[in-house]
Amino acid sequence: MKVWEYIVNSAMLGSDKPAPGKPDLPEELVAVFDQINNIPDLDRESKLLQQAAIASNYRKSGFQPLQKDDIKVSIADPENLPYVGIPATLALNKVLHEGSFPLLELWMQRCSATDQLVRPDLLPDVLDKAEYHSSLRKLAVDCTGNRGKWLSQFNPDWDYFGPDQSEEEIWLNGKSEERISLLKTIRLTDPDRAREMIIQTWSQENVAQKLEFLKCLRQNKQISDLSWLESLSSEKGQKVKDEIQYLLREIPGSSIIQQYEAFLSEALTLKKEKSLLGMLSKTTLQYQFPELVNESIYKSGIEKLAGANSKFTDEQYITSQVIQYVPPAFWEKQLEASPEQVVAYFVKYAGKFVASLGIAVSRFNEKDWVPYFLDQNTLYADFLEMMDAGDQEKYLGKFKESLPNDVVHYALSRKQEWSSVFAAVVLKIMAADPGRYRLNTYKKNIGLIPVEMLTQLGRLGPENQNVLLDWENIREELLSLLLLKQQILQAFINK
Amino acid sequence: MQHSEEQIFALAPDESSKKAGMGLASPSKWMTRGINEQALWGECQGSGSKPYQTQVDLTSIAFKCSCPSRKFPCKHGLGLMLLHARQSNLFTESNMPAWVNDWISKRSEKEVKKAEAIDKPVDEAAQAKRQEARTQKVSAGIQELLIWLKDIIRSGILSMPEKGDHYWDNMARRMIDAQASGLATMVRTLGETRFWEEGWQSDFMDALLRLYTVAESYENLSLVNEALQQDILRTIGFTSSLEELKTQEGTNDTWLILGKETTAEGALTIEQNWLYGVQHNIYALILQFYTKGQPAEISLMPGTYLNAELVYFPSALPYRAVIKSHTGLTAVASVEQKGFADWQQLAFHETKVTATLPFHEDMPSLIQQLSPVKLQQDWWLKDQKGHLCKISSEFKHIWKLLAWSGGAPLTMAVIGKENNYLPIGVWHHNTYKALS
Repeated sequence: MKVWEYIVNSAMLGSDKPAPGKPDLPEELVAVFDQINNIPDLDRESKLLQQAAIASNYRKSGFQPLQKDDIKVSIADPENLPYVGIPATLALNKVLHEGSFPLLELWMQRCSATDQLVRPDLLPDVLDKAEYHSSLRKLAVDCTGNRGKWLSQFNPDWDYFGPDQSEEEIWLNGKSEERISLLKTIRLTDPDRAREMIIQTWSQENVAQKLEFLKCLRQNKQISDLSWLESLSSEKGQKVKDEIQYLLREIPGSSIIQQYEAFLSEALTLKKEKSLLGMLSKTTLQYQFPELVNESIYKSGIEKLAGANSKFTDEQYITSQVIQYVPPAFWEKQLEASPEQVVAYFVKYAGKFVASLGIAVSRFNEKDWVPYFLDQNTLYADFLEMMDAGDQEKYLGKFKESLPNDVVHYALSRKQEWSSVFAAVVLKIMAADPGRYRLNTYKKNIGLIPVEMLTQLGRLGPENQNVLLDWENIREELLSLLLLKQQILQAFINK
Repeated sequence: MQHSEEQIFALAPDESSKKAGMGLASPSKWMTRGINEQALWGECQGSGSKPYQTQVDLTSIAFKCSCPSRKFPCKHGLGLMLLHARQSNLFTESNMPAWVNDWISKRSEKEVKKAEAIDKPVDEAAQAKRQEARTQKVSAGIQELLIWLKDIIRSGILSMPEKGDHYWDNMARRMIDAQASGLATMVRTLGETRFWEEGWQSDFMDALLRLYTVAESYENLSLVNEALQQDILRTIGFTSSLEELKTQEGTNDTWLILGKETTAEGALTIEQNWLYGVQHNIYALILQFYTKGQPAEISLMPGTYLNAELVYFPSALPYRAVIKSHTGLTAVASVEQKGFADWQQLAFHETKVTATLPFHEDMPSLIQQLSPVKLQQDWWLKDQKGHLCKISSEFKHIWKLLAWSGGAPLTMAVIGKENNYLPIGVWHHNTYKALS
């Protein structure tokens, strides 16, 4: 037993127990240990402590580092892109301290767009952030370069770099989230191929996976999806069945939609009426709930009862739901009218169903129909996605007095930064109600607020003096965030 | 002297101060801004009617602010320094306004008074009496400590992990009563052994034997040389007069602040600063003690260089020192990195150090060309000859170290012993970066 091992074992047992064998004493210690053992009247504890103190120092003095020549040191590949400059690094440091996700995303977008890299100092922090925010992962891969990829091999939490796999390898062997991400990407550009990929492995997928894949088909829906979706009637999982039903109600020409169209062709019809002793005739849209209704429409998700507080009767409620699921083009044929005329008929003769028609317009993405709804007092939020940024702002701006909180709600749902004119409208509404729009709302949405507002915030204060102080506190923080945003933008401006 | 943001953040008392300081590092927050060789100052509009007057003594990085915050430095001090680090052009070189001048003058006066205090005659008889009383108290305390240590050894150390905090606290308190604060700290350290880690028995025994060696040495003080006696007394907790020490001749050098560690003991903050003298290739430990809410005498920022004269405490192994005088922080473009060539060289050095002062504490060392490598589940540092030492499991910045290295060798400052080292900084592209 080596001397230090002997000491530790002896100490573990205690000096009042027999010693654990004999130490294999090095030559240099034999005499010293003997000397201690021979000190008269020295108790056993003191002897052990003194010998242990000697042995401890002996061990420390003779320490030799481990020799391993065969260990290969993995070295990161050199970078092909330059590192960001000092101003961008300072801005990133500040963003990381601030903990602002939208500003971090903005920084990384700029870094990636200008083909630059995060400096090594802040690389682990960026990789950590991307671990928690999956939407930053692709950017993190772009912005951290070869050093980031090298580093990721040592930390399983940063496995989002992944090996360079082909689409087929990912589809056949990838993790669920990788497959879904791939499917979504392909569905955007080649919807038929995405569907074919699902069909290829459909029988081997479990229910949860099937459901996720079907959800991917919500994007870029195709008439060519119909035949396969219609063939899935024997699927067993209820959630899968519901999703198939959902998709079929979204694709024109499906059997469900055909049933709805049959229903509506009886429920809403044009009628020519004579007036003024037959001198004049006018065409009206007449509503009559069909006498015979195919019961299968109720199985497709149409509800029968309107509820006690509804503005609809039960029959009107059923009709309004069905209208929402029928492509607007149906009405052009049914009423032999242009979109503008169809909307006019609904407004004049079937006002209760105008909103349902509006929902159908957005569901089937009929952009040409949108302008005929915009003069109405109802805010068709779903139309926003079909408008470009400028039109969205113009449309929402119309409701700033009547529906201010809705305007803020939809403004905050936007993805693009607001124009400064629109930002002034939205911030004015928000500033007036600091109890509802607290600092956190501004922090989460700083990406939407243009830095031009730095000079305008002072003019947006509320008229109500009771909330002025709250707003001023928020404004201070908002100014800091906007300054930081400005710092980011300026740091990348000349790249 | 321009400080980096990293260095300024290292001065912040907590995370919230860093964040608040960043918020104030904006020109719009400061009504006035000024600078000269001695000080940096500004007036910040706060929630009150009068602006807060914030000032920084640039020669020793000390802060003063008229805000009510009890943190040192406060967010205004940090914000002002950050703003200067980012946009120094915003600060006009000018004479100090009265409120800055008053403070800077008072600080200089204090220094003079301290020097004068040393010259005052002392009542030697009273001092000897106090010393005698203390010696008796310490001796009695050490007797108890030795009995306690023997009890542990008699019954065996296997039951040590089950001892509650009170077991260690009781003996530590007894050592405080005996005016042996150094021994009290060592007892607490013993109780803080990482009992949950494999091999704790060996670490525990090392700590226990260090305590035993110091206690026994006191019993045999007259048998060792003067310098070693000083080490023993200081380790036990006898203090020396810093002002008296400062009257002695020191070592002039450009000192790189390698790193710092701050710990709290009750209301007392203890700051350990590790310095490296670049011209003499020597190391020093500067300890600062201050109570909560009070500023340290000097703010030493890791990664900065200080032109200073340091006086070492009398010791067989000069290491702990006091700053006698300094001419402020200095910019150093590039430093020739000396230090040890490899682990083997450091091991030889450690042998000499251990022979000189068997109970020495862990000291920093610079080692050239170390690469981080993973061996099974642990990270190690490999030198150019293929020797390896393990990175301490307490090291929290492995990813930063790896990011700087990318697998390539770097010259590092490490602190530790035998096979266990904590990296505290690296040279990356000729710039020292502290790992804190």
